[in-house]
Amino acid sequence: MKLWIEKSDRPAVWGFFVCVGIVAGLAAYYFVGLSYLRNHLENARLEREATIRERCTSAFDDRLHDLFNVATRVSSDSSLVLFVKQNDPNRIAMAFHRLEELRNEDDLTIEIVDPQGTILAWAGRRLKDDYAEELRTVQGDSLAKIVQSGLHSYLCVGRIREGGNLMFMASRPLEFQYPIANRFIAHESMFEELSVELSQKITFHSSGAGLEQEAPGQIRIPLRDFHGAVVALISTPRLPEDALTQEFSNAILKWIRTAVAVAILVLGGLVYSRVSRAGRPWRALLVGTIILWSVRYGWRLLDFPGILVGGRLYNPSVYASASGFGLADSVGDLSLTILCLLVTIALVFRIVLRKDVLVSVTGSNSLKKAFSAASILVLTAFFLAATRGYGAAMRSFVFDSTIQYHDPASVLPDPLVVLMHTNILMLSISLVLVCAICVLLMVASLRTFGIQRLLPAVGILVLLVIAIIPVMRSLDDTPQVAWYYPLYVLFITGILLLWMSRRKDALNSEGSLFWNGIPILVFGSFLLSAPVLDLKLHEKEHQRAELLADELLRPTDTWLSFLLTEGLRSVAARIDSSVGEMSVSGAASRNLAFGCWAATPISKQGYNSALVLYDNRETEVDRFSVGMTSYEQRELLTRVFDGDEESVQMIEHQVGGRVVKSYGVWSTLRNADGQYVGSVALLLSGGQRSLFRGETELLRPTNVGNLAGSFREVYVSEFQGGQLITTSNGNWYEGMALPEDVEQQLGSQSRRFVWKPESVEGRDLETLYAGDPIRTGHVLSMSLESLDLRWHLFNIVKVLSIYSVILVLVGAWRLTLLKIRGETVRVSFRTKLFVAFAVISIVPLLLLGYYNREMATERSEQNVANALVSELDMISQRILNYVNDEEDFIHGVNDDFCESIAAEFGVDFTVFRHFALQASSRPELYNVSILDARLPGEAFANCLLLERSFFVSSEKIGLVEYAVGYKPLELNGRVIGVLSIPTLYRQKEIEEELAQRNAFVFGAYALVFGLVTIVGGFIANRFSRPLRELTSATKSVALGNLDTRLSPRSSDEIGELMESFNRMTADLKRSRQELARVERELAWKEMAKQVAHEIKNPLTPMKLAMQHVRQAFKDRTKDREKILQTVTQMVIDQIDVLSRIATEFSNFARMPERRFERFDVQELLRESIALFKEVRKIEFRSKIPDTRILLVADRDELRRVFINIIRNSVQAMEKGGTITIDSRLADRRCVIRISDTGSGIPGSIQRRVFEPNFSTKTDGSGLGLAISQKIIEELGGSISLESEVNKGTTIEISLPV
Amino acid sequence: MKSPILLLIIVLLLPDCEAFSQTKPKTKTSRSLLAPGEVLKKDSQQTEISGFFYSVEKAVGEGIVEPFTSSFATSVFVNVTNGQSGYLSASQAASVLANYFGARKPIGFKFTRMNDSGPAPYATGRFSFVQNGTQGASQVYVSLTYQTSHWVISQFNIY
Repeated sequence: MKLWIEKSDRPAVWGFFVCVGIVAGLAAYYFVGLSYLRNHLENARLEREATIRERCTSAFDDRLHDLFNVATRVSSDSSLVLFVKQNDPNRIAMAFHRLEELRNEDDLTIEIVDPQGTILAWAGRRLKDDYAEELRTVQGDSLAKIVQSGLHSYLCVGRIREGGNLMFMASRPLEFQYPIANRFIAHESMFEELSVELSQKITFHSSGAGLEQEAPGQIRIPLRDFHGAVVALISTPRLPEDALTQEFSNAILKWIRTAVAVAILVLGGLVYSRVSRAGRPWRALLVGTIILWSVRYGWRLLDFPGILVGGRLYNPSVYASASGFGLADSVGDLSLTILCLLVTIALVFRIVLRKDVLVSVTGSNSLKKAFSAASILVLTAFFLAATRGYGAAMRSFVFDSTIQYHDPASVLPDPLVVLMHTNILMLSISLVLVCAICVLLMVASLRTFGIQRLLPAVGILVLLVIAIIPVMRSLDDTPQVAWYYPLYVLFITGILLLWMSRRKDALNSEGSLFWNGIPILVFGSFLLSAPVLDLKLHEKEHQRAELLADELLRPTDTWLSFLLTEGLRSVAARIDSSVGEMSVSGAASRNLAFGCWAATPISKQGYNSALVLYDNRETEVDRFSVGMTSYEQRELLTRVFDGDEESVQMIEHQVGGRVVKSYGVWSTLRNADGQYVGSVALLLSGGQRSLFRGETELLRPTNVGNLAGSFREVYVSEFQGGQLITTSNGNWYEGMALPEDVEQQLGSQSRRFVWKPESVEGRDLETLYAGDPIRTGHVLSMSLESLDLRWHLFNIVKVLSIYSVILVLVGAWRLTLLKIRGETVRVSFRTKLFVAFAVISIVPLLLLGYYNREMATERSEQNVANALVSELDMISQRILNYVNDEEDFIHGVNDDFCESIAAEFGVDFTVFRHFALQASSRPELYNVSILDARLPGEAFANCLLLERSFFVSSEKIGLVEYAVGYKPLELNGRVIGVLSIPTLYRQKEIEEELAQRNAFVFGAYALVFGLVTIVGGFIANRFSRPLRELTSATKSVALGNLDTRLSPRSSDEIGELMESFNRMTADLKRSRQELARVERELAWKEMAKQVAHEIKNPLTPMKLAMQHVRQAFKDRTKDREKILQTVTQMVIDQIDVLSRIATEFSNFARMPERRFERFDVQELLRESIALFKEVRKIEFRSKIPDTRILLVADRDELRRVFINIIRNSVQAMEKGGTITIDSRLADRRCVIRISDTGSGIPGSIQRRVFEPNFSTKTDGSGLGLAISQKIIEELGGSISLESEVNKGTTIEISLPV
Repeated sequence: MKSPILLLIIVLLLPDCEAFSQTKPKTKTSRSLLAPGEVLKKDSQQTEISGFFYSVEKAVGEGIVEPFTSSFATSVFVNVTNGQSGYLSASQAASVLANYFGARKPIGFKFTRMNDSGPAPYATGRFSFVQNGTQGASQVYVSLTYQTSHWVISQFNIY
């Protein structure tokens, strides 16, 4: 193990063992803990019960003290006390205003009470008419009490101050009594929160009397006031035997699963890092992929990280797809899966690029050709299948989710929408990469057929794709994308590949290519995803419209019928236990109808509905209704009671041109003994809003909704016998003929739905025609107005904004990485300028947008206020027309009177007398305290104390905020009451108006921003171009090209700088030429000396030898013949030496005549390498790209240079090694680097290697590199050397192209 | 639904079971008013629907959803007691219901009311379960619709 683990692996190994240790520890704790728990179950249960008691009591005490503090704070407000004690209406009004300021929470009620219990001033909801009873029984200076009011139980805390003259009450809801889910009903429940916190069902009893005693199977916890008196009680069931053990198991198993999930991730990472270091990319890819997906599936099986995160991210009702074997069961799962997919494909792409498959696939035998042809076909089919898969995934993103991708009402998208767009982006990038991989592999395969160039290869591919598309589509029952979409993908990918091939040489590393490619990849992905997403959203909207049409055509909705019959069952069960309340006074006082309605499943569904209770004398005793007008109720009740008991009756009526069905049922009510105690009628409206289960819009008289928030107008029409009979479309008329083609399609092809694009009065519509399966000849049509360009633009802007944020995050990540590595962050001047322009342009746009929105909101509110004033005037005039005196007002203005006027004007309203409710067109909302029956304090102060003619305030029903207008009703110069109109339905109109404004304004802003960005980009490019040219020219000069010249386009500082640069390079060239001349002269002198020296060396022995011969012949010595022979041989040898010296110098001084030609230097390099392939122990690594680099030079001469350098490298590595040769194009120069891993050259002699006659080799002439340098320099290039002893040498050649 | 034929046989062999006897609504068309062909058609439709409901009943009784997840309509209205409500796709509906039943150990389930005629047949029954050691119960309502020559689930309500 020690040998296997490297130092860099140690943290991961430790991490893994820590995880394993945690798992083992948790497992041990699990078994020991479980065993202990089982043995001490009773103690554990008692401990748990004590915890529950303590938590409940402390939670109640916290509330109590919180309210006590509020009451104390209010009572300490000296100005408030001063105001309320005075009789001046202005001062009292200020007290109301101050009280409202002190009430900083919506659910808080603050009241000031006098010693008789009368409420002097208030802010918040009414709980009681007075507090006389509380004041009679109060102990000390504080009291706490539970008060039942409407739907809630309130905790009220009083503080007596000012010597007992004033009591300050602070109250807040403690418990909600009905199981209703509705945004209009605030659902505050301390005990529900406690139930969730303690995982224990906790029931609140407002009256604690007689319940303190423990009951079997129940824990009872008394809640006490400041003086220890029991004010309420909590009961909770005793814990079942296995609840504690199960809870313990769940908690431990959750952490075990988390630790295991982390352990497998660490282990996977460790194994992959080992495999990837082995240097076999394909094997690393295979292993990495297996590990990646094993971890993903492992996490899926462990339900990680869902067990920790949960919430909407892991809620299948937000998104769940059946594909991926459970890997896409939620948005969170989907994100992880797509991330894995992207990583896998990116790894493949990286390897395909690195392995340079374009070069590796060579050969021309028939088997290879057949294999290549098959590969091309398979890759084409795979690419088409991937495109289809992409379409299917996009369909799933839309159809398998409830996410609203394009919500015009909001400027900022929902976090889940952002995440889904990120998923779409990752998937789109995956598609682009898959396409790129297929293209690269197919291009490589086409090389087998001799097609070398990229453009013809791509052309063949396009033709192939076009040829295969019909085949694939004939096999596909449900095509997911348009037939031309694969070509579009190919086009986008082609542009990306083209960009890569152009930039690959310019960018010096793979990393730079990757980071620079991300924005292009993101933008390309957006172009790919936008049309598909739009298409799928459109399809889904069609599906919803068909669903709606189907619902409208259905004769009776069994679900609604079922709700009614189930509702009856619930009411019967409730009445059975409340039979004593079936009297007029009993039922109304206990809100029996509301209680019964709340118990039915209808209340949980949010339908417009009504419940009416009758006693055994068939007198109505109580009624509750939401969203149904009294006319609707009357009409339906008549129909219901005409029918049999428990028989569902249905009526249809037109609302805004649409058919709305209402259902009703009645039943007798009997007690446990079977005695008849009364009857009940349940009514239900199945209007359009109800279809989509939106919340009932309580205050809206007519329920005309949009098609599931699509923010576009929907027109509904009916045809009978081919002629229009009803319509909500003002441009259509009765008797209009059903389009012939529609009639034909609906009739002959037995189709239920036909979609037809239409244009009416210049407006484009998409119309759905739905045939009625029951009534022959009956056709329903729904026309949806087509969205114009501005809506699309707004959506595009939102998606692009999300993508921009992702890009910024990626950029920030890169910067962080660079910082961590200690690398310098290089941002080009052009980029800086561009970013500066973008920031400068977006800041004012954002400010403008903010102010525009604020102004729009203000204007909308002003419009609402104006409309309110107008409506208040109209209704008050109508009321006052009927009222002669105050007596008339008291007795005549009742609920029925209000409802008749509301029906006439289409506006709901309420009338208050003094501060109490007098009458309303929606009395049921006040009866059950959904709305407050007391005039709000500020409205009372403004309308009655200050006698202002109009007052508007912002109020809340449940979670919904809306405006309410108030106007005093003045009769004979005296204020007799206050009229109020809520604007709940207008709130939606305001939202819609803001949505439209968003779409239009943001679309325009996007255009401006786009324009500014383009202009900014252009200017940044122009400003930075001279600098870029200067940088490039400087680099070129540094590489030895002294002919580099710049063309100044202006006479400013930059122009001057360029001129100076040109002068500098010209001077430099002159200096260099002079230097070269001097150097040449010196070299020649040196050479002459060398020649003389070399020639002298043989001449001296020759002279001596010749003198020796002459002397021998002169002396006629015996061995003169032998001497002659020896001397002549020696002279011949020396002449040979002289000849060799002459040849060497001749070669150096005078080259053969050059033959210039244009050729590919890459090819020449490959040829040169090929000559050394047979050399043993030497490995050649060629990094020569496929692209051609054409040069004009003497091919043989340059070949000699390459051979010379490579041979030097080979000779420097006697024991073997690696020679790496790479070439690239940079700044119009071909840069060739030849590196070896030889012994290297010491620094002291590096400068001399290009000198003639210098060599470290015993058999070298010392002229090879000198000649090479001469050749390169005469071609206008440069040659340089870098070397390190024992590491190797690199020769870099730069040649102009 | 492991085998529709097997279920069909079970349904045919158990014509007098409680649930079956409760499926006849008061408004059902009299047999004498129907043509012989229609009687046969109605009977086969009712048998198919009843068989379908029995398969759902069996699966819910075992706390599993896989047997009927392939029989969801394109868009299903799902409503479960914890507040999830709305039109969902078949995949979403399957996941939501799997989560619901996965968190509860069933004690018993039987459709107590069944309507196997009309364009939207439905069945409802009480689902008893144990969750975190505590017993609970909820009402299950399943409604069908006829889609591409099959009966499929259009609503699944648990409240």
